[in-house]
Amino acid sequence: MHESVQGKAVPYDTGTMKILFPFLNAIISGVILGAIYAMMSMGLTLIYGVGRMFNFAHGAFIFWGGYFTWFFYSQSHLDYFLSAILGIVILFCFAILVDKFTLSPIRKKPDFGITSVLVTLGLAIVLGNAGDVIFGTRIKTINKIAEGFLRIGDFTITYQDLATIAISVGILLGLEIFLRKTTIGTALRAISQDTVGAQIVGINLDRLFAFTMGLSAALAGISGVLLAPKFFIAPYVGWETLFKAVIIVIFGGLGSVKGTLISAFILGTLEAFVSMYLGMFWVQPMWFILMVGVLFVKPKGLFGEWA
Amino acid sequence: MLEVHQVNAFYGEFHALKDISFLVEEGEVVVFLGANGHGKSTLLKTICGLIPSSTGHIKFHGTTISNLPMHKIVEIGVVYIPEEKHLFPDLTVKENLLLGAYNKRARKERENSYQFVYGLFPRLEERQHQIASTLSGGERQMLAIGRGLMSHARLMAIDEPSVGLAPIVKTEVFHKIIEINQQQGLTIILVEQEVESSLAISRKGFVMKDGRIVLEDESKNLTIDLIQKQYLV
Repeated sequence: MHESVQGKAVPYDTGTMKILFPFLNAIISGVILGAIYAMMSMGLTLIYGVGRMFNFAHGAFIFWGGYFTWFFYSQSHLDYFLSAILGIVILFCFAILVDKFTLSPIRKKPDFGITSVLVTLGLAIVLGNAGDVIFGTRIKTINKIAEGFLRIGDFTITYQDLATIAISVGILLGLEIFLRKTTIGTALRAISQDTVGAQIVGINLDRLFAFTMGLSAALAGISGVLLAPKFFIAPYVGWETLFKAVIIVIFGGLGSVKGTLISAFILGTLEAFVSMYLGMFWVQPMWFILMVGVLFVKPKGLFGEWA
Repeated sequence: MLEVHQVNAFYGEFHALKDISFLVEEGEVVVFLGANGHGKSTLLKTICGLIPSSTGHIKFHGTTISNLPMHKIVEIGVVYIPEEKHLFPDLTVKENLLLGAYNKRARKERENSYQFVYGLFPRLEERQHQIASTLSGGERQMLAIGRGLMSHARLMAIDEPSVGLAPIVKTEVFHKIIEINQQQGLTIILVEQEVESSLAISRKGFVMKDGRIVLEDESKNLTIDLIQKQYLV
């Protein structure tokens, strides 16, 4: 008889549910993490795709996005969304200036591959320490975008997580439309495919490199705002997120927007499962093992065209 | 319209162009002949801004264009069609053409330019939604020329358009070049190995050797024997 001890009718087999419930929960948190990770690493992919360089200051841009929001919202008591947007606009402009004054002068030199690493690494250190000096070393938190949670049957999902997914998906979709449908977006894809061809048709490379840097910093800033309630804001977070973003980008294939998206969701889900069954401690080793495994089979990553 | 005066250019240490001077009149087709590695392609790249010139000057309609950034030169009205094409392999034919009209002048005329290019090369219209890497050699050359036409240039510098094409396609390409020149009044500088055909469609011919212009005359006075015996060893 399908009756429990308390005498209530149970509509499903409790044995199966015990296994299924955490499994589904892990998938849901995997999707949420994937959405954040996709936002976090997309800027890195754009810069690599268009400008063939790694931006080691990307993690710093991410937590500065959080800092700005914290500063304008918690300290200056501006509206939450206004604070976030203000921070993102500042990051966009700042990154354009960085490109103009530090990267643009060395871009045409033969060893840009290594000099760009030095410049962005230096920038990451400066931005990290500037955060300490200006805002103090204490860890900061930002309030959630939305309080409360949604309950569907036995599953619960916080409004914060729903908002995170909605914002990430919305922005990534917007980015995709921008890259596919606008002239500037098409020009960015063209630069990534043939830089000389792009010059021949009269694309001003310097201007679009700077724009890409700005766009990438803005995406980093947004992900900083989304990350803040989950991971706190402190300078070391910049390195941690950079590390994660680099693995996501390499795993998906350097410069591939599609690859980054898919790899963010794969690694997000992996993280959710590993932390549920093995513990948080195992997340990064497992990521690393999976990445190395993929690189053995596909040296250019899942969808990479460049090694 | 184009005035090249005492231009020198270097590839690293290699002195690729030596005191090059010549004039091109509005609406004419001129051709540069000579063996490989004697500076013809370098000359086109220098005019279009891909390689800097170290001395001398290049003027286009009275404006000095030597050592301007390439996007400025395109905006002024000089477009380069390289031998290697440099198409965007993963963009569609139409997207490639769209970017051909990237400069401000050309953007306004974009819809008309599509019509003109598709009229000239109906094959490109048939394949407008295919990505460029799926095209045949002849179609790639058409796309490269079409993309150049989209820029609304007044001077087109074409580097070896016939190289690697089947004879019948070569003839078609030369016919299209005449058509562009006559219909649009576009001035054309051609670099070629096909001596006979290119002399037939041009008004002036130049022969280059070791980075210098060693012979220049009206095309009708240049014979294939003369050029081949002396310069194309």
